Amino acid sequence: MAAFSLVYIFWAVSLIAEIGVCVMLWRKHLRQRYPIFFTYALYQVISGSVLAVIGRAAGLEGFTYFYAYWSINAVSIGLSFGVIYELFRIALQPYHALRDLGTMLFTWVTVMMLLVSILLAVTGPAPNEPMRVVAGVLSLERDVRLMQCGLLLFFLLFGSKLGLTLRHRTFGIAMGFGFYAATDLISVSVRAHIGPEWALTYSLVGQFFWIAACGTWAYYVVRPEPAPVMMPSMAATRPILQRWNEALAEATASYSSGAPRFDTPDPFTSTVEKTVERVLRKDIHN
Amino acid sequence: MKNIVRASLVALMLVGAYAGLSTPAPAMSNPRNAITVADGGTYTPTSPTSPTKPGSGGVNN
Repeated sequence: MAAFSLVYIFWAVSLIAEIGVCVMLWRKHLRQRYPIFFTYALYQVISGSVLAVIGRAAGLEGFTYFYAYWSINAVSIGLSFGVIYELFRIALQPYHALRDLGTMLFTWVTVMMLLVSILLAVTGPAPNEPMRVVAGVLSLERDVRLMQCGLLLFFLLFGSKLGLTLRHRTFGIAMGFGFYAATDLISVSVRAHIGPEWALTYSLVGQFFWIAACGTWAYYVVRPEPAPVMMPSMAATRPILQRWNEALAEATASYSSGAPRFDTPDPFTSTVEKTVERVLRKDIHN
Repeated sequence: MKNIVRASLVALMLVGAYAGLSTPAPAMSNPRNAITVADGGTYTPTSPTSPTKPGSGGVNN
């Protein structure tokens, strides 16, 4: 019973932290710049309150809470995916062609993720309908968590080429998501080894890291953001992202123009090959 | 200091990704062994144990 009280305390703290993030996003007029992230934060506040009411009224172990929780979680995962896309677009704002390529890839990844999750839920060995729902949502959630880790890794490795540093807000939001995603994936792995007896402790650990993620977002939203920086490496040579952007833009322009392009049996492969060749050639010249 | 933070984050992301990829997909094994926590720090129900009655109230009743 004491552990359940701790669940409610952590719940209340995380709710306060989420409300804080929403208020600060609103007051700093950042909801226009990060509309999906703002929607996500607001959704966490509303869904957390709804689940608290349902949990209090119907109990945490009943069907009502179970279905409410997993339905809300599914929407939350969709919004998390939207935030990844939003941060990716903001980071690649100067490179329109790369951004367009990213949009196309995101669309396909979304479709594939949904298909795989539905297939896993339908064909998996889950013993009953509730377990099938959980399996489908968990599969989707794991994909999104991996992508959140990947996004932060991308910013950490290529942030200097994008003019992003640890002090930038976009970086900070990605850091909150990446930190929570990595700790969540590790916790899931540990729990898979220990077993369901650890479920409550596991929930508490997850809540703790969630509060830490909210704290990270609040910190980055409150503090003033520096202007995008120009790294010495960016000024010395043309960054690889810029070369890719130019090559993709040229490829798109030639592809959409009336120029004959059916010179090979596979025009798509030919275009990709030419684009890569162009990027590499420019790399050698610079 | 900044480099230490960066290196720590890179290591955490790699460990997280490895943990996520090495754990069996929930639907491939018993989903009860790979349950997770939703965003928002809410309590995760692993399975409904009994249908609830309206107004039964209280935690873990």
